[in-house]
Amino acid sequence: MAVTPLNALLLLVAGSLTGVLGAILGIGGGVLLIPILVIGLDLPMHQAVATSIISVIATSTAVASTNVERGTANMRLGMTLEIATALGAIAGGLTAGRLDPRTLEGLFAIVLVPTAFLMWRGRTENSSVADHPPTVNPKKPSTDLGRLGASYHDPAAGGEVRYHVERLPLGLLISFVAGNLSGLLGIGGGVFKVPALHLLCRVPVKAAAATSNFMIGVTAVASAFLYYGRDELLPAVTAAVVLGVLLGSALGSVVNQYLGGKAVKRLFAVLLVAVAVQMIYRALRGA
Amino acid sequence: MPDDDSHWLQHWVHWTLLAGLAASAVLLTCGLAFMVGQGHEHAARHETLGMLCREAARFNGPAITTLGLLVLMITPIMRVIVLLLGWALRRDWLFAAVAFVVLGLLVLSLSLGVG
Repeated sequence: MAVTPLNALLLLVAGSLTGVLGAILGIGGGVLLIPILVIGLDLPMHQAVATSIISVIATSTAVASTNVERGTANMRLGMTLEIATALGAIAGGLTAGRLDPRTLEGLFAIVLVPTAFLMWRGRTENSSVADHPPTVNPKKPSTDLGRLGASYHDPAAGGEVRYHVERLPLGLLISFVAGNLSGLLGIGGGVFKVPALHLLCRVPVKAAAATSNFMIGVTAVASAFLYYGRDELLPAVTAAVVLGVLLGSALGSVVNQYLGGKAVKRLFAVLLVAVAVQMIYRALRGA
Repeated sequence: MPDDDSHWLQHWVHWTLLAGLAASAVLLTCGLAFMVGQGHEHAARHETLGMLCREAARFNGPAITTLGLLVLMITPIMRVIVLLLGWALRRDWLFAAVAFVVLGLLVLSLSLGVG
């Protein structure tokens, strides 16, 4: 794709739209960005995935810097799980290089369906803390947080929230799958990781979302080099999209105060299913 | 804040991420503006980092854009290095080792992709 002034503007708008919607819907950009690039702007699937991976690094870096300073991101847990996500991402990135674009589109469409389901149910990366009040696991006293446990200050919860981490092997397994999806399809995978960290590892939702986001940057980089090495990363296209996504995310966090309702999420869940159907059709037609 | 990660380490990670993001955003904005202004529609591949930096110093739009992307890609790696050093300084060898393994995986990915 040649970057003419018009194309640069289109890519900037596409990135901004993704950033705004991502902030409103509480999901990372990849799930929304890739259909826009592939169906809307006719970018080949592998190049769209590479673009998405870089934009995911940008948004993750921006959000993680805030979460780390606030103390909501659990850096020890995040780094431990990054072993699994990085391995998964490398495997995914290598696998993507062996798949033809239509197969990759079909796989992406299949992943969109559970994402839409989770969005319909309201379980996204930024599910409200009110929906899932933070709890300390009652099996152990709150003073014993273990090597991976942590605490953070949460005014909404009325003070300090302390937790320890359970079922680490399950967390590692889910992280490997999420990393694999990231390397293969260019999505952050937070929509799967956050519920898993919360429900299986008993990490409070706020900390789970912050830790998941903290991990995404390293996960995405683990596969980004593979796409870069295969010349599937288009610098100018990616630059325009990344700048758009960063602008859109900032705008989206403001718009979110007015449009963050359940109806909007359900509307986009239906839209995601429609996109999935179209991508499956394209994959079958091209097969 | 997490009990075992002192505030200075969080602070360093925060500033590492922020500095990387800011530097890449500036480079990407300038690079894209130069590309559009200079009429470059594609970014050429540079063989070495030295060549890329020399071209970027000559205000070559595609080179500046590529450099911006590399800075963005290196930012999470810098974050891993900061945590590795931070935990090592605190003699928290378990998590320093975990960070070292993650860094090793990223170097493996780099060598598989670019090496």
